Amino acid sequence: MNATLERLSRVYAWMTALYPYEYRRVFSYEMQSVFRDRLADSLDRGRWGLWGVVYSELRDWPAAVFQAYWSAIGAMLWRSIMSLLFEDKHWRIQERRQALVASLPPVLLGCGITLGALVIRNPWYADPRWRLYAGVLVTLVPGGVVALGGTWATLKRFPSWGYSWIGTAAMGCLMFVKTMVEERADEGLPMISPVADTLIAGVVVLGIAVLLGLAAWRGWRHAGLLSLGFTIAISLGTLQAVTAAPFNRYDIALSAAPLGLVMSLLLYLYVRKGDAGRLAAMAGYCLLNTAMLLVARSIWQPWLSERGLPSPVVPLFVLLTGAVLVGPVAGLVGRPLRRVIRGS
Amino acid sequence: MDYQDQLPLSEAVFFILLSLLPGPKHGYAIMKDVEALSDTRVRLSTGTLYGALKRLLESGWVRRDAGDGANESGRQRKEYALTRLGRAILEAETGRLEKLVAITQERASEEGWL
Repeated sequence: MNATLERLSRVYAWMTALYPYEYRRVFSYEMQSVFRDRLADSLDRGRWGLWGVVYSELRDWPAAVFQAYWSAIGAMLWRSIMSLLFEDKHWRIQERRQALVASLPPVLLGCGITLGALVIRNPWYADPRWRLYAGVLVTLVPGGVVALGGTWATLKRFPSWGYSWIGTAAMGCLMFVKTMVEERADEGLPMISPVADTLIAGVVVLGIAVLLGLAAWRGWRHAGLLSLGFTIAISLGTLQAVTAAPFNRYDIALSAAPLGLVMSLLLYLYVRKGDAGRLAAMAGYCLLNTAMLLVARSIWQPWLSERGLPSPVVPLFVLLTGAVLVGPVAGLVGRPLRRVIRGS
Repeated sequence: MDYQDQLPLSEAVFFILLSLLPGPKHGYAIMKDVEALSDTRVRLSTGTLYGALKRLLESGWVRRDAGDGANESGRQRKEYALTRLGRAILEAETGRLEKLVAITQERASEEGWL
């Protein structure tokens, strides 16, 4: 019978481990002790007494855990406000070199797009093949560097300089998959197979959600940096899209490098200054995105209107603004949630 | 002071406060006392007891002290004691229940029901 008591006590210890951290810290030991006392006393009533105790604990456990979390969530909302205002208020990347590295992704991508536009300059069928390949290569190499940097930063478990790299690389990966699927769809073909394409897209989206969750776990300032990476990839990717047929506006794509440079300066501001600087950087990104979309609209709209097609500008604006905000919002939930679950 | 906005108490909370009226008790003693006081009608599980104790601690109706006894593992048991506020709440609830009973008896005797 002692062995049964031991086993049941171990199971109960595991059940108490699922309460919120603060609750566990205060009551877990006592609860286990009371449970053992209950079990020991119930032995007088035989096996049925023992299982009666187990049944009553199991019956009430879900409601008790739910109530504990419900109460913790109220406290969490309060902490969210405190976190927004005070927690890690002085967070910034101390080393200038690391801050510069954190600011690199937009200028790298922007330079790649501009160089590609300088090399190709004409519709793909009007340029020699070598020029086309060289243009694609100079565009893809910086993208590859960002992808490698993002992968490296993920493997290094999110160093401070790495959030912008991870965000840009992850969203860039999603856009690359999307572009490939669309290009193949134009020919009436899947990228690999319909099932494989759906799986790949699902894995990439899930990966992005996981990355966002991990960054949010550390707070809104870190997750905000990740989501700026998202918006960098979408924004510069949209600028790259104006070079596609039938628009072939390589002249507009030339502005990617200066745009990337301004984005890099805003990233530097984000990682080196206080919360006012961060908010200014996010506002700056929203302004840049709006300006870029207005330019894209002036190029797309006549062609779309002729064919009676809806404009993608408003959905893109929502997407870009959402990409800027999703990190900070997730971080405002994630960091306090971490406190509830882990207490740190 | 008026505690009407805190009332009525749930049965479990009422019995926990009542159990602590004679003096401080540790968790398991409260559990057994509540069962005895309620004539085995209210049987608290460990999760329900500690959920209620947590709310009572947060409301300041009970306090948590280091007890003088130790359990088998030699770790000191915590005891829970009624605070002045908790006692006042219990008195207010008892008064409320007394009024209910008095009104019921009055009406019942008028109707020749009791």
